[in-house]
Amino acid sequence: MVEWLKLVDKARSRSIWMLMYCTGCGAMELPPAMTSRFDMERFGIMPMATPRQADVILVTGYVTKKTLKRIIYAYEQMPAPKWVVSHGSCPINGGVYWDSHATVNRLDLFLPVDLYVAGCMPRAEANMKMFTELMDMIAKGEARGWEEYVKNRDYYKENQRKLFGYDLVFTDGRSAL
Amino acid sequence: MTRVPIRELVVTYDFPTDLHLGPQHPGIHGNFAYILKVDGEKIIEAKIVPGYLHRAFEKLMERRTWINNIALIPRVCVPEPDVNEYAFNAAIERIAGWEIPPRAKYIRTVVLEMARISAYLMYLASMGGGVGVYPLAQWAFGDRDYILDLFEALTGARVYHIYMIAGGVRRDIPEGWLDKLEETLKYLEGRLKEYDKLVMNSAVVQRRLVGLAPITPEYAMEHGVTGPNLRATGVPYDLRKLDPYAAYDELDFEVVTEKDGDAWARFMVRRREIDQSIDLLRQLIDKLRKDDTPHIHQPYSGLAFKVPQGEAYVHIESTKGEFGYYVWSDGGFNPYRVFVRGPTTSHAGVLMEDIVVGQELADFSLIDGSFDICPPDLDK
Amino acid sequence: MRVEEVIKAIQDKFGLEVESPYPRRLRVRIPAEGKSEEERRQMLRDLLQYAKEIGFQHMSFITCVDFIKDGRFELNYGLWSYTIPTMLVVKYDLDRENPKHITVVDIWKPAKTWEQEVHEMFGVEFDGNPRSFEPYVLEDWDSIPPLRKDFDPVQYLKEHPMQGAGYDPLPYVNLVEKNLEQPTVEETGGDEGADS
Repeated sequence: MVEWLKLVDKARSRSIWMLMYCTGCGAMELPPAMTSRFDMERFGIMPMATPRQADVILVTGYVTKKTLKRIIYAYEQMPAPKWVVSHGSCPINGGVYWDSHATVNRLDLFLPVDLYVAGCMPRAEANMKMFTELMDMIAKGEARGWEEYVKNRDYYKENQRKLFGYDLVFTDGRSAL
Repeated sequence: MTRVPIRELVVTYDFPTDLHLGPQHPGIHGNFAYILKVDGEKIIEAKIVPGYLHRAFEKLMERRTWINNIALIPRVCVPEPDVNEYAFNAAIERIAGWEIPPRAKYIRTVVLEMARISAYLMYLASMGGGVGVYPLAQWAFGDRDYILDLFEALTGARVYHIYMIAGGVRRDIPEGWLDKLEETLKYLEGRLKEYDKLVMNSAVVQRRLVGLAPITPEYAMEHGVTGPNLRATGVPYDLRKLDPYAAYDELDFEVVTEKDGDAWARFMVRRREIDQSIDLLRQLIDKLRKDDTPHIHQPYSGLAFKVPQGEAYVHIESTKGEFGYYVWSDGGFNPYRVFVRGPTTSHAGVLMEDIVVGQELADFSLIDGSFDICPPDLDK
Repeated sequence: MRVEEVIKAIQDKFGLEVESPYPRRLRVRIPAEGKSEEERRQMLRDLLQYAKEIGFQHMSFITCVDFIKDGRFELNYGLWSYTIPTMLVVKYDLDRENPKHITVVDIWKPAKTWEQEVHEMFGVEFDGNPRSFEPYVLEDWDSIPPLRKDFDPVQYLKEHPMQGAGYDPLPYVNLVEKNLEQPTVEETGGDEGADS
């Protein structure tokens, strides 16, 4: 059974579908990585329109409070296994906008991040290194962000409640996740 | 087990219904949302929801010194960051009364024109993706990378350059760079012929773009439309000719216009302006080879730099429209107030809400792409 | 029409002085003394309507500056003409404690979005433009309008620790706010832009 799960992990690492959501200015170096010069499609990575069929959400660049709510909604609509990659130096500690009243300085208080990429903005070669690194982590079974979110659900939900001032629920009263 | 007739299983909506074309959508370029009211396939009402990219630049700029701001402001317009640097520095030079040497003007114009070519190639790619002609998207982004390589050789970074400062540019052109620029321009001209073959002979592109969302010059000027969108309606208004800045009064070019004002005309204006930019760059290369004035007005220390009291407004012709910076200075180390005039504020806030009424829902993403709605300069 | 004729026409019709500090830039200020609020608002609207008739076809911006020491807001209406060509900036002063104003959206259509932005960032109320009272770029905002000079973003981040976590701003804040210890050109040697 364990060998079968290892094979499943290897297969998962070869077909990662990323959610098509350009949340910030770091998304400028994603199209060069997608198109013919750096070509991430030979690794099996493709953009996907709906979160229900996506595997990884790339938070490219800074996160405003308004966008963070939508990122959390999209993250919770993705089925497990799912991963979060924080791209750029703004979600790490605030970056250039550390004293802005509209951005959130640290992303990993609200979502479980698997991989960080530094840079402002990270080059297209750094993007390719990020993808190969993520594939290695998934194949070895080291990237377990979604399980952390389920185990420490109270911690993340408490942080989100303190940030927004209310619980994030769907409009018909069901709790998100 | 009872059988339910299929007609009772179908969910019905009451039309007109609210549709949130939200921020996570493959058809909208950037992080932007609309709330549409649709009746079947027709759009009745539209409203923008901005603010997903709001970073409060105008407040941050008051808290940083004059030279720190140049490292901050390229992020206001992400596809074409050099217009921000140019407008801010030109406003400072106007207030301080500096006259910059010719070589600095030529180098700045070269950087602006290269940014224009790379932004127009990105426009062609996104329109290709929207219509369904995916080879155009792959080719245009691939060829745009050669221009980013040139930027890296000149300034050190691919996307955010931080190259222009008040008084000129930071460093002079390295050796051999002008030859490489000529080679890249020759390569691009050959590639543009392939793009034309792909787009002109394609019935899909012609059927989808010709006749889509036409506007007249009076309608455009009433709604605050500027830039290539206005030139596509037939009027030859270009800020490089009407309010000349940098080295444009020494260069020889004609304003590109098209007649119909529909999405095909907007596409063709931008395609022909790439040719115009290549021609301007060739003229500038000749001028730069013969010129040997300094590349900066005077060397100074960035930390102890104060601008005298005054205010100035500088606006330039970017690929999206009229991009302006209004700078107020009170004689201190930081600016007193900076106002960024983004072209998308009028395009998205005033024009899009009026023009989509009566159009089909399937065309919405293409209308949004053909006007080149770029949300960072609306949210700032 | 040419620039000199525009200056003369505004001077004759409204009695206002127009200055031209740079080429293709005109500035006119609606005076605050000796007139009631109604007269000033009507003069502003008449001037904007007249400018539209003599060739200013494009409204570039409506923005506001907070002069906290004088206790006023200064609204700037920027109009651009393609045919003359020149830019006209109309300046209007408002009281900082009670910033109520009138809308110009029936004369110039782009004012719909510009007035919304000024309302959100400064708190100026534009009577007659219902769209301008809706939130523009901020969501669930509970503090004073953010671009005013008495709004301190670092204080706001200290009150909202979840948003401001991760970076200690104190050493940098002291330098920027008090402008201490800025070196002179002789000390640093003028290194910006020198060939190295």
